[in-house]
Amino acid sequence: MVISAFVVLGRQLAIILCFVLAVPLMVRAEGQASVYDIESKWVDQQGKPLAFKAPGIQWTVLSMAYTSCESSCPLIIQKMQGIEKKLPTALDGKVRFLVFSFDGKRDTVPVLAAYTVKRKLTAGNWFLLTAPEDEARTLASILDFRYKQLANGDFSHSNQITLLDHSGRIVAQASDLVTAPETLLEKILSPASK
Amino acid sequence: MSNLIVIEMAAALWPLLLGAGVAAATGHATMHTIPAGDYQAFIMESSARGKPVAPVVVPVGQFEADDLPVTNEEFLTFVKSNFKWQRGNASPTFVDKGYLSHWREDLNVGTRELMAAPAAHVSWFAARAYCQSKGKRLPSISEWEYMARPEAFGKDWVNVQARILEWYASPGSEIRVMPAMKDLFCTKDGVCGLHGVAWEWVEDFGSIIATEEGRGGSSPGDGLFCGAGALGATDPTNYMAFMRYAFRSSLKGAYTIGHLGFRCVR
Repeated sequence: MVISAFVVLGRQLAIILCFVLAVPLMVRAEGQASVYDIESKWVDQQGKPLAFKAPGIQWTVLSMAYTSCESSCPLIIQKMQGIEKKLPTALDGKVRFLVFSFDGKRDTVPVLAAYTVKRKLTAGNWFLLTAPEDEARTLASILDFRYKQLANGDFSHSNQITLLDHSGRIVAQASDLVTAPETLLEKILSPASK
Repeated sequence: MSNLIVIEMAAALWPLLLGAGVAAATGHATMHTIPAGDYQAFIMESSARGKPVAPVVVPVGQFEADDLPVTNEEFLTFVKSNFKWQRGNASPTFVDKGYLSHWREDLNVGTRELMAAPAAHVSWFAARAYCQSKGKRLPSISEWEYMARPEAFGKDWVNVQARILEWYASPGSEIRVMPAMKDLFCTKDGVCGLHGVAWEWVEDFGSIIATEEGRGGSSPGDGLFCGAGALGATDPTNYMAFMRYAFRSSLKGAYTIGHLGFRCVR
């Protein structure tokens, strides 16, 4: 009788403690910026809307680019592919690669679909995304990605690859494309970040 | 002058509003038509890789602009009906810790004077949401610069310039009052308080690419940016345009600053 009373009390205490401890933890989690706070209006190369929160996805490797770019954008995608190649099989299906176009006028769904084929991007892992200009600006502001359309139609833009964790938090950003794959892989593979 | 120095100057010379204590705003912006025209961009560009840079003329279509910056009172009305933009609820993705920190409480600005003052400590995301709620938007850099162009002030421009320089030179970091209407300079299009009252958010502040390269002493575009070797000022002696350019280049979307407000256009 006495023992069971203690057990019950213990359970209640545990529940109370859970609440007391959980509240500050929840507040902390809410207190962190997340790319997933955006209401996504992005559409992928198949015309499907992008859900930022995706079950089973541990890591998101992303960049902003435009497909008619001839200099650094193919390089950015190549570097992202470099990360993909070095992922351990344990992470199969748990890492996705997102490329957000800031040239929504030209990068339509069919253009993105063709580009996926041209760059041999793995189906299921890669999503090339298009949205109205407003949305591109919103995302760019969160990532601190800067871009400007020049008078000749080309864009000046940041070279940047970003790594998000499962909750959309920015874990790492690399602007040196040479070392970017290494920097981001290190984060993905570090035991502390599991 | 390197970009770095300019940015440091912008940081060091936080302006202070020395306006009269009498509130000018009625609390409701009226909009004025800005006729279409051309704006000569502050930064030159090259037409193709390897070509020399040249001035760029940006055609600006006709638009309507608020006659005054959005006030704390107006912003309060907005947050009252938009829970997620209230001080205690706004996501840290969209606002930094200084968001509306000059208000007495989440839904209480404090003094009447502050109610009538331009709303500062508002992030780009929040300013944008406000404008959207009114069926409006933030002006682009071209639109802002075009409506604030020297010609729009006519003979007043000399005095406007003096006001701007005085504003830049006054230390301080908070906008607490709106100057009396009689103390505001207005353009011939009817837009007032563009200069010498507050910095103002623009929709495409993120299109200014002039950041890290200043620190390393390397040329623009070294590794960080693609195709950014296109920088060069149209008129390097235009100190005020340079200041606005440097200030905008230093911003991030979630930043909230005590003398950075906004107005809407459509």
